Amino acid sequence: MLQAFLQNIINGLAQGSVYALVALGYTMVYGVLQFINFAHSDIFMLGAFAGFYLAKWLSPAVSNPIFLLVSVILGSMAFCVAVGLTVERIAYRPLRSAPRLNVLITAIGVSLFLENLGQIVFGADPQVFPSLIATQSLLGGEGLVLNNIQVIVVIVSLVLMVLLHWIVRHTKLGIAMRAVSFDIEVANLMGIPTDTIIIFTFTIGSSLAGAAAILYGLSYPKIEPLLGVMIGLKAFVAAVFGGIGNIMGAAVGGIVLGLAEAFTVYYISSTFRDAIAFGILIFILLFRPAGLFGTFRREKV
Amino acid sequence: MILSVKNLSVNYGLISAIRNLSMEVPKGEIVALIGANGAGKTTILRTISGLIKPVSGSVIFDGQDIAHVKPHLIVRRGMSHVPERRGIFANLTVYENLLMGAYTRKLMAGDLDEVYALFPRLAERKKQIAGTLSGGEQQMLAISRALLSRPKLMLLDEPSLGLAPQITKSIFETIQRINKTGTTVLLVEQNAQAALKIAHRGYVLEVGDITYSDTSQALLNNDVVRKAYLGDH
Repeated sequence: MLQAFLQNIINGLAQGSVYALVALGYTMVYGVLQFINFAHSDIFMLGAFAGFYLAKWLSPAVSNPIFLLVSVILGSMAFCVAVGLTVERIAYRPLRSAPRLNVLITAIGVSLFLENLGQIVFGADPQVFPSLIATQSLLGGEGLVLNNIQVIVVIVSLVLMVLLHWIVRHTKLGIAMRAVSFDIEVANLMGIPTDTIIIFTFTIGSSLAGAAAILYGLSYPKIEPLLGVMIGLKAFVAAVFGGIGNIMGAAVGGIVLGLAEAFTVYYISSTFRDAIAFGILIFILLFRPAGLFGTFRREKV
Repeated sequence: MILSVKNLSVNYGLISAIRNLSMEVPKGEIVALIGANGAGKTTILRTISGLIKPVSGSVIFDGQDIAHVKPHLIVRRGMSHVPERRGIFANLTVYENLLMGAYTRKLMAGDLDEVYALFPRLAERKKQIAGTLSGGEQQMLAISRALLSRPKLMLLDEPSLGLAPQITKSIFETIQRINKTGTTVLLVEQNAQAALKIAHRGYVLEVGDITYSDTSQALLNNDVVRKAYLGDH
């Protein structure tokens, strides 16, 4: 009983931290620009493929698995930042003064473009993500499964989230990001270069997606060009659950969603795994549309 | 002149908000821009600070036309704008708000002391979330924040809005003190009486046009202005 409970906590935390990392990208971009960057999930997918090729290329040369893992994570983060900034520059920045709906539709367009591009470049068949680190059981025997991969996923996510928290709370750029997300016009009047802050936001969001993609690949080593669709939707649910635009909310939302899924699979049925996420979305939209930590923002007229 | 606005026209969509307006702000003075609701006072300030781009005309600040310069770069040239309703970052602490005011510079230790000396109340509340401040305290914060970019010219949009008369009085005294240290002030106000009392000169704006401009003393004595804006009957 207790064992099963703990097992679900472990599984839920590992899955939830990936959701949380992706959700942070949605929520931060929403915070500064008030639109859902639907292409974010495909940037996650591209990060997984970047890691896939990088690992293939590096693994014959690098024997230390930790070094290999760190290189692949950093490489994927860098690649995602490059893609994220390109998308921002080409697709979103020209629409800065356009109505939000136009930007939203553009984001959907970019998402479809990246998904189809992925199918052309990588092929539609799933690929096996290389195991960068041999799986080792840490708690064996007693039925409780805890392996090194799960620990790595949770620790890496935690480190990234603590780092993000520090940046947002204590650096000038981080504080400026919060200022821009509260009122972009007044931020301008403070001399804050808002385009720079938007670039900064996309950089952080995309890099977290890149890291999340590798953590995902380690846990579920099957990747394909539509990989981002479901993860993206789940992460989006997590962001809405926590209160879209709220950084703490996205982190908590991701973890809660991961746990909810794990418990649903165990106590109800694995067929309800996806249903629970969308059930939570419907529930939150009905009863607390601003999300767990969210506050309603007044529409400016 | 630290600021000259020449033949400025501004549209909101298809509607013309300001037509061919000219005004000047001499260095070192307090200039009040008064007028009824909807006359276009806020639009003028927003055009000067670069938030709105004019359809024609020029805004000469410190010798250069800034009509098409981006607002965050105008701040770097020495202008700061305290917007209508104060524009406090309610999600940030008082200290973080001040830090953002000094975004264009490196914040020196003495800078904050100066601000805290002007408004001791802010020092007591520096760690508090700015959204929890009272209206008067928020106005103090907005003014302090604007001062931290070390402006040559400060634009103030309705600093008295929603404040009790006692607080308004003290805010206006502080504006005067700021002016005495060398900062030129362009003040937009509905409270014409209070504004003209501290101003050296005033402009009266009616639906997008300047109808009177004179020293504030003369405006205070002008019958038409008294009837329309100072509540005399």
